[in-house]
Amino acid sequence: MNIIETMHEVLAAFPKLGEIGVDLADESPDSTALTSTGDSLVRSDILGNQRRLHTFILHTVWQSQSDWERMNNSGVLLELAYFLERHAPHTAVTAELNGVTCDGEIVSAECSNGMLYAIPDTVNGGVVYQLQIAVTYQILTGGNS
Amino acid sequence: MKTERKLMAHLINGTPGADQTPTWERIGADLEEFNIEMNAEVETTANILGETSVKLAGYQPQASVEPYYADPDTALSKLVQRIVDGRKMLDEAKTDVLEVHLWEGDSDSSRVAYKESAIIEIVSYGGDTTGYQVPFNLHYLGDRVKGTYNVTTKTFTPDLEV
Repeated sequence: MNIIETMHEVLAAFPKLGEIGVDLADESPDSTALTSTGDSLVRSDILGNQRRLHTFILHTVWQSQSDWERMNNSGVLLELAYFLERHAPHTAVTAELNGVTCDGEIVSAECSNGMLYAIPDTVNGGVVYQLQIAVTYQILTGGNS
Repeated sequence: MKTERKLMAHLINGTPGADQTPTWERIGADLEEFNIEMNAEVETTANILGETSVKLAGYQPQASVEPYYADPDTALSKLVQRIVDGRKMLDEAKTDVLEVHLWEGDSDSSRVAYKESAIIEIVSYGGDTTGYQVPFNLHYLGDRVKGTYNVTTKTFTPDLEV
């Protein structure tokens, strides 16, 4: 699985999120979606192995009628950040580089900017929270022998 | 066309000793750069005729392996740790290094390679929270031998002397 598919699976294991959609979260409460926002090469070693960075944005729709609910929502985002920090590393990933499928694993997942992102005209249906996720992963290109 | 960096392979014998079968381990994982500094001994003199003569008397090659993350399952890590633990010196810190030209030779069973003895100089051990690290320097001893390396069987065969 590539890094996008892998992160979908990692997030699906977090118990306080519902089904993870792709890119689009509809306006219904508890709707969640993961958007991939870019991939870049961080560094490579003399064997050709690569360390890469992939960024995501997670959008989720939660109730926000009171400060209590909003505090709870922020708490869930915090728990998700801890969860990713502990459970994402060492998860297997594959990448196709120059036509060759290479194996690798996630090194780390860091979260930032977890906050209320969008408020619709009426808050009765919920508001949109976002969480930015930066995932560092390593790809082995087979030059180790 | 440029030669890819990964085609110049650097291997270290993790089981040195006349009575041991070499265990060639390739270094390079997590190494963004690995240079053998030649440290040439150069004497330059100018005469009264305005001519310059340059004498290249020799080399003292040296390389730095940093970072080196210890992996207790590998023979090289065990060798490095023995040097650390026993504060080994002289011949007890000696091993062999191999440079394999993966772009040269008939096939992976016969790549052009050069073997040379080297002393492992431990720079430090410990490191930060990313992992236990033991960076070291290699001091090459000049007894360079040309041969071929079999990538599959991981064996070096010196060329026959003519």
